[in-house]
Amino acid sequence: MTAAAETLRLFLVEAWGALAGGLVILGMLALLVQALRAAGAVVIGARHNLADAAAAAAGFLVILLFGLMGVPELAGAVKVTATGCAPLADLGSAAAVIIGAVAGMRMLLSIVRAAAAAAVGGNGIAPALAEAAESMLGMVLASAAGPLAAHFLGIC
Amino acid sequence: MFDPIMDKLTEIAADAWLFLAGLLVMVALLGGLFFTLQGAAGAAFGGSRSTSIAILGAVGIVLLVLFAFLVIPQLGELLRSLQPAPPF
Repeated sequence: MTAAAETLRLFLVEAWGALAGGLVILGMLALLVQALRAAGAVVIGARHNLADAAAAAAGFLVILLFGLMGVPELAGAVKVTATGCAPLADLGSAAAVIIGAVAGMRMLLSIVRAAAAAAVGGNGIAPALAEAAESMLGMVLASAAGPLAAHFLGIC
Repeated sequence: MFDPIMDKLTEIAADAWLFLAGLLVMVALLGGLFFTLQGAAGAAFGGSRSTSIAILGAVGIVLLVLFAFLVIPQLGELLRSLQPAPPF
């Protein structure tokens, strides 16, 4: 079981690297698009479009920085070590790692969705923050379910 | 496992970057030409406001292009250095 959990964890580690790299690539392209929008606005004398492009670029940078710096801290801070009792200890710790990994991936994926929405002028940060909070809460609940059930059933 | 996908994505992103950079250069050149024409016309009939707007516009275009080609790649390097290790 722990070997299977380790395989799954390694898969999620590679997926995390790919998503983080994709986020950086998306960020650079989106900033260049905003620069192009701003240049077009300057040429035709559209002040509001220029301000819009500058605000969009700044907002996009904030989303990127939150995703690259905040999400790993959140995922690491809420990582709960679910300790099972003697028969379930290995299963409990393996489950805790996988639950933390899945929640972290979900948070990073929500940031990628928010960045993609912001790149085309949509609103993405609010749903991303809500999904991050939902992931953390789900992670805590899932981590607590096993030990609670074991105590309820009298296994521990 | 995801390396072939990332390589393909990087290739597409590099093409997209070149395309956008080319568009930016074209817009900047056309904009510079427009502002030159506006400034020349303003200077010809003594319209100082028109001339000063043209000069400011041309300077703005130059600053934008400098920002796009100097600052954005540095921001990209910064973002790449901030790329986090998986916390699990």
